[in-house]
Amino acid sequence: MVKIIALGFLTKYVGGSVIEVKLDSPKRVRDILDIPPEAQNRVIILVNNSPGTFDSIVDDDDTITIMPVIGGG
Amino acid sequence: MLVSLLKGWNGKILRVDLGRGKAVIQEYSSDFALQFLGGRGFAIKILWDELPIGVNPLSPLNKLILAAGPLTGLTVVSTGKLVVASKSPLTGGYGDGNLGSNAAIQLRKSGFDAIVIEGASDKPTYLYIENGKVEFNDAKDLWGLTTFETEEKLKKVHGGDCGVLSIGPAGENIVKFATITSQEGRSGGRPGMGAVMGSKNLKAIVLRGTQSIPVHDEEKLNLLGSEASKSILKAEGYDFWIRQGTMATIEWCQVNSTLPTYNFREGVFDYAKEVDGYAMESVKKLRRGCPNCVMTCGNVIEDYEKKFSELDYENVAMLSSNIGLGDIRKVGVLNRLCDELGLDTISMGNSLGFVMEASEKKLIGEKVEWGDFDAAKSLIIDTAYRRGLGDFIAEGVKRMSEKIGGESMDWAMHVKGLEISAYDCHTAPAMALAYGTSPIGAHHKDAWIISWEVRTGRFDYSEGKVDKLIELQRIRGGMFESLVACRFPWIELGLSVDWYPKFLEAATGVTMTFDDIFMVADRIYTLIRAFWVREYGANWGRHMDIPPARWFKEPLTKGPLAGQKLKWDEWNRMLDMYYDKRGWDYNGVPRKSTLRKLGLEFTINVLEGLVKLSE
Repeated sequence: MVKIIALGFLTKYVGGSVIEVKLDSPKRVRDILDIPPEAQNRVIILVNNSPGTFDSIVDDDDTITIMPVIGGG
Repeated sequence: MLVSLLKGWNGKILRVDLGRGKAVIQEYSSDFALQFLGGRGFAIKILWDELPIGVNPLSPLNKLILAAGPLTGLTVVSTGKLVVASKSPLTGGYGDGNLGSNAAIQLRKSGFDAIVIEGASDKPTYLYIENGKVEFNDAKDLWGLTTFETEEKLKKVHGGDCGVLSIGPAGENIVKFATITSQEGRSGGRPGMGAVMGSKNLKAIVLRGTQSIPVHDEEKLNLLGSEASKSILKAEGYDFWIRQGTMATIEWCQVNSTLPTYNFREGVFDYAKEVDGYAMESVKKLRRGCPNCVMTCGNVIEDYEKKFSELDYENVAMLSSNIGLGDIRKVGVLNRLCDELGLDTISMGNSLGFVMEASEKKLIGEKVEWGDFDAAKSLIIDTAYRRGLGDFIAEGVKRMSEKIGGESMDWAMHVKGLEISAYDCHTAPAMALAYGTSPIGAHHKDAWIISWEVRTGRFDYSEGKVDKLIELQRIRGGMFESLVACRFPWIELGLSVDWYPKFLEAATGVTMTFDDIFMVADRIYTLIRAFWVREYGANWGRHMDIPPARWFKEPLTKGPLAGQKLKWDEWNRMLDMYYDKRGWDYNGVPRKSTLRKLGLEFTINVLEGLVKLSE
């Protein structure tokens, strides 16, 4: 199972703060997450706590964290 | 050429002498406007030119500047702000802050771009300024009131549509981190601008203006302002922003191990969910914001004492996780008290965390336990009135640690004397550099780079990070602080920065590229740096830019990044790169060639008499 953690406004694209998805084979992040193009440049992607992209390949047991780009006040 | 030939700027500064009870209007040149733009830029040039070297920040010779920008009060999104600036009694260097207030709009509609307040009154006074006419009014009946009470009373006298800036008991009692407050929760001037006001016996400034602000192309400006507003309203994440505002940052920082916890020992807090944006939503009552804003970032909750408290990320983090308190409604009480009393929430949260740690380590006699709400509440009040341990706290963490001595200086969380904003940097080297090189001491407003670090690789100490930091400082600390526009539309909802030169051109008729704007930003930054060097003289050195030892010596012990800390040698290499790119020497002193390039030749003779200047 791939674990997906979403923060802030991105929870609406994932359907919750934490979900798990079963993969039959390795996939790109963009093939798992349905985030509209206009939102994609405002997303930080981590794969297993390291910087990732929509083209990062993930497999079962990986964790994807997506969070908004924020400005810190 | 006088600036009145340009549009956008009013071209006038109001100079108020509290000692003599007189006010005069001064016109300024277009060169001044074009070289420094407004806000922070105006403030540092006036302070450099007019303050005696080494002046006591609490003496009548210090000056308090209120400065708007060329966009303030116009039909441009999120520009209802002004800068308050002075020589800081907390740090001994340049201090400023911005706050959103109707006072900013009224200042510009009064026909001015800035007010310079000099001298000191011999009795409590408040100023009423309407279209350039200044009244010096007796504030005897206001002295001792909270900022909320003061504003309410003054609006009853002068009408609800005026703008009010006031200090509370903290400013009156010269607490070194007293702020200037407006509209029940809009505060500015962290490095003790409220104490400067208190030292001048100035309780409040009431502003009303009915004049129109000159605009180069009003139709175009209205159109641009309207289009930008629509763009913000349509932005991805706008709905969530309206729900949580900056409070979403609690969860973000917890996930990224940057939530200040137990006096910045850790980056995660066991009770983060009790104080995060969702916890806030459960007790939220309404939203408030600055004038001319569609983002209304102030989330108002009903606090533990059933009163309204306006929350945002910084004050909640510093008054919750940093002191071990996991109850949003109790945090609301502490936050409201700070706003009422006129205390900076960031410095207060730091100071409480410092005292709790000192108590835990038995370095002070008083027992103040982590998370003790009643003790924290009492200490906030005692700080504002300088009673007991509160009198010690009122000096800020740097002075407290110097008094306690020893290892406490390692965990006195400040840079240059200004307490650190709410981001732990054990795992964010560029953010630590941002704090180190911030022009007012450790504050986040000039460059918040953690998001970029997390996105691109947080554990490296690369030249790319230094470049990004300088870019952010130019945009945030340079452009936004001199236009005096809020950065939230850009940083939180993705409004392009390309809008801002267009706004400036429509407002003023002046075309500036980003190269031009960054030149202004660099000029402002380097002049602020020259001011610090001038005021510290032989005591200035590289050590002034170094963040607290805790982040280098004590690794995190909790969370997914346990074991991490900053690397001293690598971090110092970043500081070297930063100085080099800025055109400053090994000690962070601007080189003569840099000063000349930026049109700051007038500083060279002054600085050469105080420190060794490199070519």
